[in-house]
Parts: sequence; structure tokens; C-alpha cells
Amino acid sequence: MQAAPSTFKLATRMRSLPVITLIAALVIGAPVLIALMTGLVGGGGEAWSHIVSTQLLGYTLTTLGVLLLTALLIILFAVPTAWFVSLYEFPGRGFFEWALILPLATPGYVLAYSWADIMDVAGPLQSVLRETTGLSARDYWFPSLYSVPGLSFVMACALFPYAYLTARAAFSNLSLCTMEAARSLGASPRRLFLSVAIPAARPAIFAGLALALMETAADYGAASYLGVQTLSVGIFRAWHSFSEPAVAARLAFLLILIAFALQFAERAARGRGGIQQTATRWRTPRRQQSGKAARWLIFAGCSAVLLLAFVFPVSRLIWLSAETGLGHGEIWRPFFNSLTLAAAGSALAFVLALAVVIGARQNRTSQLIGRISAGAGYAAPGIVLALGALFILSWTSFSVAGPAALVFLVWIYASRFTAAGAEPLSAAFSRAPASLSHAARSLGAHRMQRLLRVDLPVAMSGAAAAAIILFVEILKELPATLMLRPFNWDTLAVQAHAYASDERLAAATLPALLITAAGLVPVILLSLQLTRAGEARSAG
Amino acid sequence: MTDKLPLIADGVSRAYGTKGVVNKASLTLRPGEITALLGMSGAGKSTLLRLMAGLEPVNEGEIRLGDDVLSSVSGQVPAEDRNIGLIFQDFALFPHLNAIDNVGFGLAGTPKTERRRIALEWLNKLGLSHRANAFPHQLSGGEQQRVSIARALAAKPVAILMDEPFSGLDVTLRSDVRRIALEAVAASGIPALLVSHDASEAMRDADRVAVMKDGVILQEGTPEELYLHPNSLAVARALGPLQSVRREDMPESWRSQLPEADTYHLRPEAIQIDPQASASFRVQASKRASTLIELDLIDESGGTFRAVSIGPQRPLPGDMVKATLSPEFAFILPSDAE
Repeated sequence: MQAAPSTFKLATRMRSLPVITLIAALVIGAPVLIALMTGLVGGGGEAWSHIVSTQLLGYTLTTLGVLLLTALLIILFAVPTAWFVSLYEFPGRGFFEWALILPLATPGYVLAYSWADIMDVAGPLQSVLRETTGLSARDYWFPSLYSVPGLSFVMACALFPYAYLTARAAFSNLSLCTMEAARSLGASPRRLFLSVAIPAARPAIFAGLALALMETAADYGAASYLGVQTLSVGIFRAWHSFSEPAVAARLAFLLILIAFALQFAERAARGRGGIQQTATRWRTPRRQQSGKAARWLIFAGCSAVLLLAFVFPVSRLIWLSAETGLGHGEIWRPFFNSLTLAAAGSALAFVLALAVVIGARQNRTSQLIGRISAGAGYAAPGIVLALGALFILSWTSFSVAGPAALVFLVWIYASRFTAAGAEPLSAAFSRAPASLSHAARSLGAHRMQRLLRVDLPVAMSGAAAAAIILFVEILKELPATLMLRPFNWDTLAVQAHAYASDERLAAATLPALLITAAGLVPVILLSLQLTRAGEARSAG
Repeated sequence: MTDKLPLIADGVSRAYGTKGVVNKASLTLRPGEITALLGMSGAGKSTLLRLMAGLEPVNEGEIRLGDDVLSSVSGQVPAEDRNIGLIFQDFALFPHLNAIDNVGFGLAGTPKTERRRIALEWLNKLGLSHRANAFPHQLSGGEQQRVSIARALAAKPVAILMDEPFSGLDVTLRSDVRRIALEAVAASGIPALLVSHDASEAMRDADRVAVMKDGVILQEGTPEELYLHPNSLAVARALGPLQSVRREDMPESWRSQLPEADTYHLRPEAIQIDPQASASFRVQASKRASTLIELDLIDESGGTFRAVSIGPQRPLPGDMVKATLSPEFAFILPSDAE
């Protein structure tokens, strides 16, 4: 008798929604849902009326102003550098290609501390100005970083690499045929850039920009340090200073609305049909040689961006740290706490991201549920998620000051960053053709076996990237950690913020530099990996 | 071979929304035989394969192994429980496993040493034992496809389904890989399906051929049956080139050889250059196509014909030649519309 199929029982065709997706969606989405519902139900009253009549408009306009200015600055920093790095030969091009990603390692609040010191009356810039001109501090006007433009500048410095990366990828993928056709039709380099390259790369640029602006809207550390009254600062104040968490949650609605509007705008930009590439010959265009003056001008432009966004502020922190010595309070405990929390948070976020991505492969409903919940978690600033967790803590008998808060903090990290981990995982999964799974099925591998023996090993490259991204993002997280950590249980981010807020900047430099250093390793790895992938593509 | 069972598609249909892709298709894959499923792109061939493999549910009809129902409207045995081997155009080798572990993948319940022994034995059968430790990216296309065939056969499947397995290969590799692979499939004695859009490949490699169009199986039989006795114009065209000639345009000597009809559909080899023949033609064009010479001829009444010659001399345009008709390559067929 031949080896017959092991079971001829007719299995039911209806596929139920994977429980795993539902659980993951619930874990990810619960904090934001609870925060918003509580805000809706209990966030009214006198305090709310007071905020509406006195501060709401200010918070909103300030936030929108910061977003607008940040967007302009990001475009100014990211698009030209990506264009020149992708398509022109100039001194140091290979270095700038990866070095321009480095600012991703530095959180916005760290840049704020550093730039605020650089531009301070007693800081190096104004000191040099006074020494060279002989003026006194009262004799001249100097721009203040403690302003909407100042915050926008800092956020653009910290976040422009998101748009730089997507724009660079888009420019590198421009069809050689399209570019050559445009040149043969007499398009000047300027027209080529404005009429061909920018429209083709617009969806990609907008995707990076939307991500950067969502992070800008969610920022608390830099805005509070620079004293700019954004919605995030308002939410934190409503919770911390006014002890009105429900009012804070209601304020969070606006922030979520902004995040969703950005996501919607990004999708709308991506969905436009007329800007899709149609040529099939995909080859990275050969980089152009330009005149000597132009080459050095491009070099100067790229150098300026890198100096402003990374070299100056990080050097200043290193200088301050070296100048004042490293013995500022205990650093190892916060360091250990940061690593522990980042490891636990990224592990949970990784598992959730895996559940979302695997669920998405099962059926469309799971895909939709997973995407919405992960997207909602990512769109919700850490401050909002932390409010959700605080509400849950207050309804239970757990103490906000006890270890339960740490568990909740890990949960909030996972809720916030699952989408960031799901992205590279999903990309790695989608690189594996469907025939792999079919082949495994035909060889008798059931769902779990396929996951363990085929899907996961194939997705390992993406899994490593996902884990690194999650770890760094969590390491940098400030507002949720600030709100949920038990008393006297500091992380590097919290310690840096606490010192900086107390105007003990020298003491804040070490934790700030440690966060940057921890972020640098994976960012450099990621950057080199992306650059190598680009080179391999253009060689192929 | 008597213990092997046929894999049967019995009146199966599959639709996506309102679009029917497979329509009441019936096909029996007999043990020890390779059946080629031939058709143009979008004919429904790969969907029928997926229905047989259990990768998709049927909307109508049944898939059976012998008398055991694998798929029906009420449910189906999952693909992973059917033990039906699949071979893909893109080879579908697991990139994280070397050749020997790929081949051993389907032997999960077997002890490790035994699994490796069986896998190595299969690699050896397909001439790849020296590549056992190579990873897929280190193997050539032909080697990858042989590993994928070894992998499918090592699991002792009850049937094997191949979806355009050789079309991803370089032409120079194709014939060798195909020969080695199909010999191994034939030796296994199980029912085998070879989905293809290449008529010459299908006729050369398969014991039986089925032609599919618009989700319907038009005809099934041996390659000779289908080539020489197509039941429709679509089947005749699927198996090779045709020329349509009206009876009134034919030379008188040929008309008498054929039954009465308005139009005849001729294979190119129906008209061959023969100095002993009675009908004369002028050569309009001629070209050498590998082993044969293809000719465009015109007779004195203006009728045009396509003929072949085995050579060795290629008649040149303007030359006068004589040609004969082989009636067995001339068909009277209902048109597509009918």
C-alpha cells in the first residue's frame, strides 16, 4: 500500500481569524483606546473648559507651526543632499552617503540640550562673536533656540534622515530610461530635478517626511526643554501639574488627529497614479561629473547639514563632558535600567510584530486588524499611551510606584514601537516567494512548522534589523518612561532630562552621550547595509 | 506499480468573484504516466494544479486520490496532509538550508542519520551528490531545479505536480535537466502533471496531453492523438502551427485526396517538396529553420501554401518546385465559434 495522505478527514474550509492576531491587536491597541475613551468620557469639566478657553488654541497653533517649519527644514536638509549623493560625484560622496544618517542616533532632546548650550549667551558662538567684535551681550540681537523656529531646527536636525533615506532610495531607483529621455529632450539639470526627479520621488519623500513629522508631534523632551508650548507639553502639564489625567487624555485627541492626518496625507500622496514609474529598465543612473566649483559647493552643502545636525552638537556634548569630568552621580544603574527596559520592551514588541506580520499572511481581516492596531500604537505619542497605562493602573490595585509600573512601561514601549518592528519583518517575509510556503505545505509542514522551519529562518535578516530598530527606539524614549517609571528608577533618558531640566547640563552630557553611542552602532550598521544594498543594486 | 492510485479532478470549477478560472474541468492523472497540461497564459492550468494540490478550494466538483476525496464543496484535506509533491518554476528552495537539508525537509519524522542517507541517495540519483552541502545561491539554475525535484520525490509523494518546471532554465541546460528530472519522476511510478505552455516540450515529455482554454479542458489523449486528431481548431493550434486553405484554392490533384469540406487546416508538414509529385508551384520565399526548410509557395491560380522540405538544397525564390500533400496532416475542424 502506498503512503496515503495521513488524514482524509475533510477539514472545514472556513478559516477562523487567528487568535494570535486578535491578542496582539488588543495588547497593542488597548492603551491608546483606553486613553482616548477615558478622555472622551471623563475629560470634561472645569479644567477642560479652562484649557479650551486659555491654552488649547495656543497649543494647537504652536504644534502646527512647529510641524510646518520642521517640514520645510527637513525638505531643505534631506532632498538636496539625497539628490546630490545619489546622482553626482563630489569629494566625500561615499562618506556623506552613510554619514548623513548618523543624526538618527541622537534623540531630539539631546540635540536641544547641546544646541541650547551652543547658542547660549555664555556659549561658544556668542562668546566668539563678542570676542571678535568687542560688543557686549546687550549690543546685538542673537536668535534664541527657546522658540518655535529653534525647536523646529532641532527636530529637523534629529529627524531629517528619515526623509533623506527615502528620498535617496527613490532617486537611486530612478529609471535610467526616464532620465536619459528627459536629457535627450533638452532638460537642464535643474529641470530634470524639478520636473522629473521630484515628482517621481514625491511619494517616497513624503513617506519619510510624514514619519519625521509624527515623531516631531510626539516629541516632549525637546519641546519642554526649550519651553515651547506644544500639545505634548500641554498634555504632560495637564497630567503632571494640574493632576488632570482625563483632561490630558482629551487633549491627546488632537495629537492623535494630527498623526492620523499625516498618515492619511502620506497615503494620499502615495496613491496618485500619475507618478508611478513605468519603465522596466531599472538601473541606477551613472553619477554625473560636475564642474570643480559645483563639486565643492555640493561638498560644502552636505558638510553644513552634517555639521549642524550631528558634528557640532555631539562634539559640544563631548567637550562639556570632558571639561567637567565624568563623575556626575551614578551612571551605571540608569545605564543598566535602560538596557533592561530596552531589551524587555524590544522583546515584547518583536513578538507582537511577529504576530501582526504572521497574522497578515493568514487573511485580509487579520492583516487589516494588525495594521490598524500597530498603526494606532505608532501614531499615538508615548505620552498618550502612558496615560492609558496610568488609567489601567489606577483601576487596579497595582501601585504606580511599584514594579508593576515597569511591566506597564514595557507594554507601552511594545504598543508604541510594534509598527516600527513590523515594517522590516514584513519586508523580509515578503521577499520570500509564496512558492516557498507552498513547497513546505506540499512536504507536509503544518502552519507552526512552516513558521519555525521556513518563515522565521528566511526572515532572519529582517528580524535582526527589526530587533535593532526596536532596541534603539526604546532606549531613546522619554515621555512614557518619565510618566511610568517607579520613583528613583531612572533610565539614561530620564536622567539626562532631569539634569538638563535642572540646568545641570554638564551632568546631562554623559547619559545623553551614552544614548547617542548606543544608537550609533546600529545606525552605522543599518547605514552601511543600505549603502551596500544600493551598490549591489546599481552593479546588478 | 499497481499500488499507486490515480489523482482525479472530477468536474472541478474555481471562480474568483464572478470570474470563472476553471470550469468543470475533469482530468485523470494515471500512475506511472506524465500528463502534460497545455494552454496559453490565463487558460487556468496553474489554478487547476493548485486545486489538485489543495492550495485552493474547489467551488464545484471533486479532487480524488483513487476513491478518497481530497477536495469537495464541503471541505478539503489541507495541502500539507495530501503528500502531493510540487515543483515550481522558481524552484522554491529554502534559502537557509543546503541541498541535503532541502531534500530532507519532507522527511521530518525520520531520524536524522536516516534522513541524510535518504536525501543523499536522492541527490545521487539526480547527479548532485557532490553538491550536497551547497546552499541554493551557490547552485546553478539546473542544479536548483534538480534539488527541488529530489526534495519532492524524497518525501515519497502520492503524486507530483510540476508548474512550468523548466521554463526558468537556460535553453542550453534545459534538455539535460529535463531528461534527468523526468526520468526520476517516471521511475517513481506515481501520477505526474506537467503544466506547460510549450507544445513541443509537452509532447516530447508527456505520456498524455490535455489542452486547456478559458478554464475548460478541450481534449485529452496521447500526444499523437491530439496532434493528428484534434477535436477543435483551438486544440490543433495549441499543438503546433496551422495554415487554413479553402478547398477551391487547392490543386485538383490534392482535392481528390481529401473528404469534402469548405476549409482544411494543414500542419506545415502536410505539404512537402517532392520531385515526383504532380502539382507545381513557384517559390515565393524560403528560409532554413534549423533541421527543416520552410517555404512559401504559390500555384498558377494564385493559391498560397506553406510547405517544408528536408533539404539539403534550399529552393530559392522564383524557383519552380513540385509538392505533395499528406492527408493525415490535414484536418476538417469546427471553428472556435462553433
